[in-house]
Amino acid sequence: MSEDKLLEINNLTVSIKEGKEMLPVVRGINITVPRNKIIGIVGESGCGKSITAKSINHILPPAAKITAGSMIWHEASGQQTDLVTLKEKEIRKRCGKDLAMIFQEPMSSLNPMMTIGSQIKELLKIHKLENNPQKAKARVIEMLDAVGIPEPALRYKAYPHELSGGMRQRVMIAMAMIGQPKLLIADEPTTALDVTTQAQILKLIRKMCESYSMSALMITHNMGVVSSTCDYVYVMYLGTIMEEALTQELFNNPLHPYTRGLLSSIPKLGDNPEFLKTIPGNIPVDSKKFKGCKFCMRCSDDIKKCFFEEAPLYKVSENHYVRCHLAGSDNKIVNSEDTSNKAGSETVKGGKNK
Amino acid sequence: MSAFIRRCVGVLLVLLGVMLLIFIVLRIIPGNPAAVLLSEHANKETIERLTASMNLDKALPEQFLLYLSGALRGDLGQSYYLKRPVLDLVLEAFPFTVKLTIFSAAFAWIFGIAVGVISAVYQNRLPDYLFRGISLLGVSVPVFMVALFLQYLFYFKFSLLPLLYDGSAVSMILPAIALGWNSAGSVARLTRSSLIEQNNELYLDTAKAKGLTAKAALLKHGLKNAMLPVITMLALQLSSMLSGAVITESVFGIAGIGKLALSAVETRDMPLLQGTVLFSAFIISLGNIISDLINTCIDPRLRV
Repeated sequence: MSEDKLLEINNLTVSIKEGKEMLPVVRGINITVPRNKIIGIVGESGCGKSITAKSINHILPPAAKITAGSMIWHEASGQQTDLVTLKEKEIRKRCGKDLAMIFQEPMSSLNPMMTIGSQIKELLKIHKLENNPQKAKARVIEMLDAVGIPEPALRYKAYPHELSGGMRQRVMIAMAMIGQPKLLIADEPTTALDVTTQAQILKLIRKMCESYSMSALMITHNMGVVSSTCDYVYVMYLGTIMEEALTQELFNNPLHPYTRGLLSSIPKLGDNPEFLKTIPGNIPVDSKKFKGCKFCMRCSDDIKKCFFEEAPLYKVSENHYVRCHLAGSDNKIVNSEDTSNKAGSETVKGGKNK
Repeated sequence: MSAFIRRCVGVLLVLLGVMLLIFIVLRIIPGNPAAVLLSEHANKETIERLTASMNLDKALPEQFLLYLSGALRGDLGQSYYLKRPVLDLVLEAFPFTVKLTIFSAAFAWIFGIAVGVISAVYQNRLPDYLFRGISLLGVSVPVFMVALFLQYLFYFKFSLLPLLYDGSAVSMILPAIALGWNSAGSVARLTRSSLIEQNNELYLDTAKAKGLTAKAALLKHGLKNAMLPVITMLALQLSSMLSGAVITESVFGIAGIGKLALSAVETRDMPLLQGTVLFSAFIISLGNIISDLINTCIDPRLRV
């Protein structure tokens, strides 16, 4: 990856309070978002990808806490800030201006009692980007036009329930873009939309990233979304990064059995329609005591070692890393990753002792 | 608009039902009102004459139809005891009840909503526990207890406020608190729970991602959404207050609808009792319609 980093997530561990215990749902992951790139995090429901996204701008549910790790934000000036340590007021100053987010459910992500125009305009007011109400309104209408909403001046006064799902997601994108953020976090932005709308929204996000020179972190469970939008992909399973690679590389040469399972689950024209390929089993109930590979219960290629020892992240090439004994054993272990992972597990233990 | 007309027709049907019900109930009660009205020593002929003049000797359906046709013409009959048209008596008492209602509703809403919002913002922290305790007292202590306690505290102990209502605004403070106390409690509890529920709504995440702090997001975006059920409750409370507060008006000596109804019961003044009940039913139905209209104004999803 290039040196021009925007956001560097190091050893992020997020735990959810379950009774008296803190159950880690994201376990020491490392993700780097470079400038002007779209990064994907892909995985099944419950793998911790949404939690990862929400921990960046501190909108985790009350039961979830970041227990270890850092998220280094790199300013263009070279200044670095750790987002994890920011107080509520400081992170809110960045939200909407540096970091923007769009959500899975455009139906319920907008306030039903306010017109979409005033909801977008509110962002300009919060960050004092435009104090003149007339000019602010003009800017909002301009942005609504830019995200492809027909008759934007008319739609400015529309309430969310008067728009379709795709239109509402466009409104969300307009709201995200009006602060001209450097990073767009898109948490399953197309999951609730129908297929034709999905393609339009993805195209729009790509276009916005290019024209505003913005990076995006795309959270999805859909390999199709990854292939059509992302530059670099992280495959996540049970709170751990299983494989990461340039998108092209990942699709051409998937090494982890989980990645291969995800890719072969995409139905293709000409397949026997009676049988859809799936990964057998469900995401297992997590146990702290289990030290082996998190995927071994569902893996078709597992060896004995998988049950006792979790694989380190092996470096396959400059742009491809994999956490699998079988796929990576010929390759170098990434040292930094290995140590940080240990540190992560220690902090989790430390958290438990509290 | 057609929905509104349907509601109005519904109100008329409700009022008809109320009239029928109160008419039957009053006729079931044993004893001849004419006999009660006259002294014990009145002779039979006098009683019969009075019975006839009050239409009480006619068959029940005929009596009801007579009453109904009178009501449609705005004539609710003549009070047996006070010897004046019922409608005049009700309309004379109503301004006092309105005054009491305005004062106590203002108290209940301002106090109730403020307490509810503070509780919700400081959920499960000290102010919340404190205010939850207060609002629990609000919903659980009966009106007459509150009224007597207020009189004891503010008149006998500290002699700050007058004991009874004397027409001045100051003397309205205690009755207003007494009548508003229960409403304030339930408003506070509903506001709190409704606002806390908004925390699960996704649009609050959007507001936070936009740059609002959790508190600001809840107050700017959550409160308006949380107010919908509260407004319905407020309107219902308002109409029940307007239909007369029997206990509060009696304790503080306010000549409102509630006191009028009570004296009608005491003197077995059937036309007056019918009149006050009908009036209350009318006010409560009206309150329901008004709460619907307000919600339609606030919630854009309800507009057609």
